[in-house]
Amino acid sequence: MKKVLLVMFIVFVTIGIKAKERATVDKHILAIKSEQRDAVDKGDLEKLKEISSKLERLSTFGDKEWLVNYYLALNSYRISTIAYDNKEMSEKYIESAKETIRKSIKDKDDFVESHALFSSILGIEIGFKPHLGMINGMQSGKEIEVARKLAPENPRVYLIDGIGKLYTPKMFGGGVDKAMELFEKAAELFEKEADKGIYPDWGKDEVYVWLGNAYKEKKEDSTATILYKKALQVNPDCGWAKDILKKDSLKSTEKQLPDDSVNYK
Amino acid sequence: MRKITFGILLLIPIVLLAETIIEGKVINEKGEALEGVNVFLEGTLDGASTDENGEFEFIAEETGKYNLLIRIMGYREFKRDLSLLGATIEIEAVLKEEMLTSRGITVRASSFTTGEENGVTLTPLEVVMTPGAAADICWAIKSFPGVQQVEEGAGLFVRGGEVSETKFILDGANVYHPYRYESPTGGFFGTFAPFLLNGTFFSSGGFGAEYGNALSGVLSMESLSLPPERTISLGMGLGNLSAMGRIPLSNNFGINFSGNHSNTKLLFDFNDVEGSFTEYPFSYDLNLNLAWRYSEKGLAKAFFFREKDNVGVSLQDPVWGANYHGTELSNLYNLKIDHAVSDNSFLKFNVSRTDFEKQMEIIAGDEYVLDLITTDEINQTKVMLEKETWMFLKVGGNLEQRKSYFSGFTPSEEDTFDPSVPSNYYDREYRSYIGSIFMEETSFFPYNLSLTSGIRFDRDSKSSKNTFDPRFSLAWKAAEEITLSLATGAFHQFYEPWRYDPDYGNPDLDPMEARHYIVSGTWENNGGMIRLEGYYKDYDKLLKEDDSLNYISSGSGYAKGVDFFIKKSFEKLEGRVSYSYLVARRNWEDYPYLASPDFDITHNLTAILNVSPIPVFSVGAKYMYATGKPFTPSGEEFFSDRLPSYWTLDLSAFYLHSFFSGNLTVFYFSVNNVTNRNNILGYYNGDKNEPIRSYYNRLYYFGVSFQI
Repeated sequence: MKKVLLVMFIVFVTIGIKAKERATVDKHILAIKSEQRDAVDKGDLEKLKEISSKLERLSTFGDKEWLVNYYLALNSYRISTIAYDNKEMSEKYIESAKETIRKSIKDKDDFVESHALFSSILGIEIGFKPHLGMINGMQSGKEIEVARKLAPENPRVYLIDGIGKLYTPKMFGGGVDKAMELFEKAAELFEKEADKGIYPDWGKDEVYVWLGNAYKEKKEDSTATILYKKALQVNPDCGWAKDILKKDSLKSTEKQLPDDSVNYK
Repeated sequence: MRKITFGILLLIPIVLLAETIIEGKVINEKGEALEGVNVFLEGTLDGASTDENGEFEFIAEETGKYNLLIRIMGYREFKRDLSLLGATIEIEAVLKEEMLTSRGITVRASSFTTGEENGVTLTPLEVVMTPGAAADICWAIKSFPGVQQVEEGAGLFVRGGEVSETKFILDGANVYHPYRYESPTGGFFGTFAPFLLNGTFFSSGGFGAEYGNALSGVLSMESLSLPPERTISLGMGLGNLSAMGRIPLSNNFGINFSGNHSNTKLLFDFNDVEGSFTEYPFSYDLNLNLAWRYSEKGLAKAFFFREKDNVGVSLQDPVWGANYHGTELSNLYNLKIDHAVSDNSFLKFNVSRTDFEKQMEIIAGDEYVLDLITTDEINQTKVMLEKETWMFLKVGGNLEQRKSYFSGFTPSEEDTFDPSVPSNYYDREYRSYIGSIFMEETSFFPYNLSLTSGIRFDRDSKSSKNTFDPRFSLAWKAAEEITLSLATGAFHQFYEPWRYDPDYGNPDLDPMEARHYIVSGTWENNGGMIRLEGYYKDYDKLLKEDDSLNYISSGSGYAKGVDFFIKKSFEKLEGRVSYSYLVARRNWEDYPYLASPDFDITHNLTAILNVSPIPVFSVGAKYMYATGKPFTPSGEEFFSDRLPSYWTLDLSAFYLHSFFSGNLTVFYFSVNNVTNRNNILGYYNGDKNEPIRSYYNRLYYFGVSFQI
């Protein structure tokens, strides 16, 4: 009897430990997801780097490594885009994002978010290595198709596809109009998207900034401004929308100044 | 007893509450502090990042045994077992750069790797996008330094070596007939299409002990692995039809297949090629490749390949009006297993069978002057263990059985198609075994030095000769972007089994010998690369004709030269330039004295520029220049003159389009020999008034590949 009890005790403890691990990873992912959102809103590179370290540690917990790696890739991707003007740093992080997302896809190849993110990472890499344009362009298109097949109603797939199209000339199947269609569809899907817990649900605010950028490209500045404000409605802390609105208002103030404004000091 | 138990119970919370301080410093092998390194306990969030002095400190709340992990991009992970008992633990970690070790690539002179994973020079797509390369791996490799343009085919003549001195390997299996439409200078195309392959490793000298029975170069190819997603493409070009598919059947199992059919009549008719074909070159190939990840530890691949080609050509012999007709059929079956025996060791195993049949006929008037069927059968198995500890170790062995069969007749005199000349009749079978073992280790030393030393032993059953090949390679990463290396070694090559036949060869032939001495410097940065290499190769025991013994092993020679390579991409441009300077001399075969062999091409220059103004469109140009090859003018001294220099300018363009979701369509267009230069390939009987000219005047080619 004693033995049976002992075995039962060991079994329960083991199950308990496993369940605890899972709960711990989930808990950490939730916390990191929120930290990541804050850091992106503030454009806080130091905080994002810190998050990268944390995610790397979390990836050794032996649970949901693919999801942790997804967030790690997303984090590197965010660092790369925020630090875009610092070519060396930005390139280093996009390379790291590429490597990590590949790992995530290798461990779980039917997770729509990873394919969508991979598509965007490949697109950004072209910015640093234009000679890879053809190869990455092809692969990026394939990844977005894989994502679309996996989840036809995922708003981030449309958002990322739209970003890609915005940078692809019209004659090659891209262009502003195409991008706008995709952003609008994404926005529509985002409205229906609820909080997804430990799974990715970013982009609700960004989609309006991208749509605004597309309108701006079409010289429809007033619509663009409405959309940037809409982004702020969705997320009052959206740093990107705030920045653009601030810059735009500075520009319009400059325009309103009298012609001899140079003499005003 | 109860007291003691109680005492232990009292202790537990104390141990559980103990906090351990972990502090220390992280540096690289040069002693420089590393900033931003992630130092943490595996399976916990306890950790810190290093500051600008490489220093860190954190408090571990855990107790017990934990692994400390130290990680940063570009360096190998540092791991150490720690017992956390509440005291302060000091750590000083020296991180090794990843480049030199765990990626499995050792910096070695004279080698270029292709394929996306290693990403150094060429991907399959880049092979296809090399202008003038006809989507052929060998033609694309010819645009690298160290490979001389001797003929207009695919033959790889490496650094003053003859074409048969370059060895081809696919997934560990030796490929003895790597060319289609075989000729004395190799063949017209490579056998394997680039899209059947994951990547290619090419070495023009100083290669490792793993590769044997090759004097000059190695081209090692790796077939496709598990298909990541379902793709089926159909292709159509001028005189060419192809289909290819990659189908994952489950997460761990997938099929890659392809089929190609080519009939050059359409291509030649379209371009008004005044070839002397009596039957236009015609070929097909089929490939089936199954990949199975049978567990997390291993991958098995079964590769089947069949290729058949036909060609008929008028030999333009003014006297006898002879025609040649040739048919080749080859099959390759290979099973390869890569298995991780432990965290740091890998077992690679393959077993393969190749059979090859070639039928050659020469008909003068109505009479057969030559009618010969050659059959080759090669059965081979190779095992190799790779282990990575503080050094990188490779140990392995290879056993190969080779059977050749000849049946038919040839004229008893060389260089004549006179039907009245008596024939030599053959009906012989030859069999030989080559057994090999090899070992190679790479050690890494402070100051970014790495030394690879290897030894190889081979035994050939036919000649009962043994060879020992020691090989060394030293690399020094002198600065972030600069690597200097030295390589030297002995290389041997046995003959095909029939050469030991006392009637046509000599049973006592020694294996051919070469020694390589290479000095190399490489600068690499962000996709840009410059490499300069100097080399000297000493040849010995080459085949020499002999009046009484047919052949003896008394031939010798040398080759020396300089290879230069530069590759750089700027925004939307990508260019590479290869230049080779070569001095080769041999006294072998029927040479009366030490002379320049016909593959002694002094200057060889290739410049390639690809422009991709928008991501879906690319246009490229290739200029290739080669010194004319030596020839013997009629009535003059042996190999005392050279042909006029050879050069061509080729252009190609690609356009990608997607007609529907999931579709990728590639349109391509190319013009070879844009300037319509009429290159001279030789002279009939050494008579300068009778030049043999290239078939390739300006040649247009176009096609489309459509992905369903």
